[in-house]
Amino acid sequence: MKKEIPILLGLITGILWYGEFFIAGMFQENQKLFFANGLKIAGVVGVAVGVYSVARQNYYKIKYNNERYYAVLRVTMIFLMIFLGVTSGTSSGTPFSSMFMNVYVPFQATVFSLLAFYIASAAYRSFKAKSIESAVLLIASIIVMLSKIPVGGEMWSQIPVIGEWIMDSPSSAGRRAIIFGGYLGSITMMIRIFFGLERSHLSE
Amino acid sequence: MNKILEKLKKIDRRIIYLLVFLSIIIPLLPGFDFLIFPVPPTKETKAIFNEVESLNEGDAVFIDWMFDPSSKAELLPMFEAFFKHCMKKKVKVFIYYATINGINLGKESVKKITASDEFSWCREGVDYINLEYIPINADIRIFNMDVDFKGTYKKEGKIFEGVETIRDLKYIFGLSGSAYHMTFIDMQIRFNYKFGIAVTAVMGPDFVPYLQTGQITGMSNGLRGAAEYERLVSDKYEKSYYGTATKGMSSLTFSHLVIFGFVIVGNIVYFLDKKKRG
Amino acid sequence: MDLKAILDNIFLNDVFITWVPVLATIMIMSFLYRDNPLYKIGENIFIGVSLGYGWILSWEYIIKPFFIMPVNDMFVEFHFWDITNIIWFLLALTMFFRFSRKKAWVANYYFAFLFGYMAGYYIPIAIQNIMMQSTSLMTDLNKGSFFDTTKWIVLVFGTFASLMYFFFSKPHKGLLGKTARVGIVIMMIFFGAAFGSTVMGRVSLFIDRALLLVDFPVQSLVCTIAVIIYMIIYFKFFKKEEKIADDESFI
Repeated sequence: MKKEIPILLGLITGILWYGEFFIAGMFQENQKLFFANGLKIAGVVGVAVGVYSVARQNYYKIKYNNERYYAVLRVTMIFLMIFLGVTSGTSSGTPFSSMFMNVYVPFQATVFSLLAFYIASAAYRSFKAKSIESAVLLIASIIVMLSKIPVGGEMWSQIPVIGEWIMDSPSSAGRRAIIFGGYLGSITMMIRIFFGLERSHLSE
Repeated sequence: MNKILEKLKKIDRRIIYLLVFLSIIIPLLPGFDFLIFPVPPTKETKAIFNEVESLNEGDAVFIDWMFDPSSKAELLPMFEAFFKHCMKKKVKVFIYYATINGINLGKESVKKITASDEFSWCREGVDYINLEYIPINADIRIFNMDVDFKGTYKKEGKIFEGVETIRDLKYIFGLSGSAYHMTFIDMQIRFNYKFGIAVTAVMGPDFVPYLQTGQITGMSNGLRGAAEYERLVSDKYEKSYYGTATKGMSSLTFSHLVIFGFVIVGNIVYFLDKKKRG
Repeated sequence: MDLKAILDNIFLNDVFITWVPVLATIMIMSFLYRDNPLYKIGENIFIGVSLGYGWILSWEYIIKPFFIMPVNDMFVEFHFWDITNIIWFLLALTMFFRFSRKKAWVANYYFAFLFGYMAGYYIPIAIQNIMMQSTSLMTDLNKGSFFDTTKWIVLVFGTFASLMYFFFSKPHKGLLGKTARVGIVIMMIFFGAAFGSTVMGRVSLFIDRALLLVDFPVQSLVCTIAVIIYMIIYFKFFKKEEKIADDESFI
């Protein structure tokens, strides 16, 4: 009963949505919105789950002195943002928006921008032509890199043309093969979920 | 020679970081403006431009904003250039935010553009509107193409005149950063709408097959795509709409050449070391 | 002075708008030298601000319009179809049972429904997309120009060869083995193109930060010097830098 009824529920829902594709008008607008409303309500509960999870995690960190001061800092910033949001509103030109633009945006953008340095270091250390395949990879990447920058066209007028050919032809061929494999794999997985053969998303 | 080889093999990664940092920042310093020049557009970016050019005054364009500040560097310049182009063409722009983290970023960007002298005539609710966010996206699988457009987003405005359902939108433009627009691409076969996309450079090669099947009508690829679009708009209206994307291309050039150098040197060191070890 | 004015004075003045983004950028960039408390402080400020921001906007765009207002409307006038919303709410509440070890199975009801719905709608779409990708290859290979013709020949036969690489029901020997080898080369070209694009993508992310630093040169210099002084003091007096071989260090 712990798994059988949920799987049956999933099967019925799956059949309804599968049928929707073939039978026009099977789902009248109200019924489609029925599902849409349901998923939005699930979004509400999802937010609550997230809040509870973060609160629990930080509570244990503070209680058991596991990076306590950093946890206190995190919680302080959370309360600061909530305070600013409640007192001044969230529209543009408010302290809340200012914190977003001047604290959140720079921090997040910089965290991701560190990847620029890591990729340069990776290019130096591990990007070597050790075999024919890796040599092909290296040459393709160099041509594509040169075709992306304006100076590539200045060095030799055919570099952008060859770069475009690589992107449109062999690169696209490799990507298509991966797309086919991806779609076929996901169809297999979805059919297994449909018939209850796949139970990894359900707990004991 | 052996000493140099050993030093190059064991080079501190922080020296590599410093060289990359200098190659990115030096071209952006004042005095290096001569390194900034417009980039020739590719056919994918031209396709987006031509789609907007083919629109008439009053047609509706839907922008699906699916990126957050982590991809702002590549996609925000493209959004700004596209929005300005739409405003010049006097088409109605609906901006929907598929991620919560993008809402304030988008609103600040639109506010900055409409505060400028050239676009001060743009009015929210008449020429453009921020549809904000609803959970589970405005996915077509849930909202079929004939669902009430205004009722879905619970917004009011003169801009909704003539736009009853999603079918009345002439062009859908997606900005993919933190998530892919796979739903729009998958559903395009079923509903046959015009869909263009701006992606981060990392995702560029992944979407080429969809361009070839016609599921995507045009694609702007990263910072370069944004620079190309800025050039197209500037050439069309004979006025400078060059922004951060074009400015950043000089930096991109030098950093690419530096990384290219690292790859060459790394391979030379590898082969010399291999030869030394026999 | 009222609270709103005080907050506006703190968070909307020029000092906050010019110095804080630069300081934030340099604090995170200090990680490139080595992990240090300044980076950790910046990281935790970022996590706290992002969570607080997310929760406030979730309240405004998710909880208020899709929970508070419908519940208010239900109390004002109850329609029979509101029962479906209550059922949905109870089903979604079962997600909380995932935190319990003994009662985690209650959450199965919601997740099974969600995955069933995804499976049902996705299968026809995936088949449709496979058909679309396949049929676009069934085209006249003679495109007029030599460039376009070679492009399509490589595209069609390259896709076929790459697919042969993923065929594991037979050993890769003979003709199949040679075709699979060609497929590997084609995929290596794709990965090379992806790497080239990735380099452009990653470098572009830092160009935006560099533009910020260049736009505020005084703030950038002062913050950089301050962070460097802090790092020297921290690593010299508080934490000895362990000498590790550079090939053991992370990239």
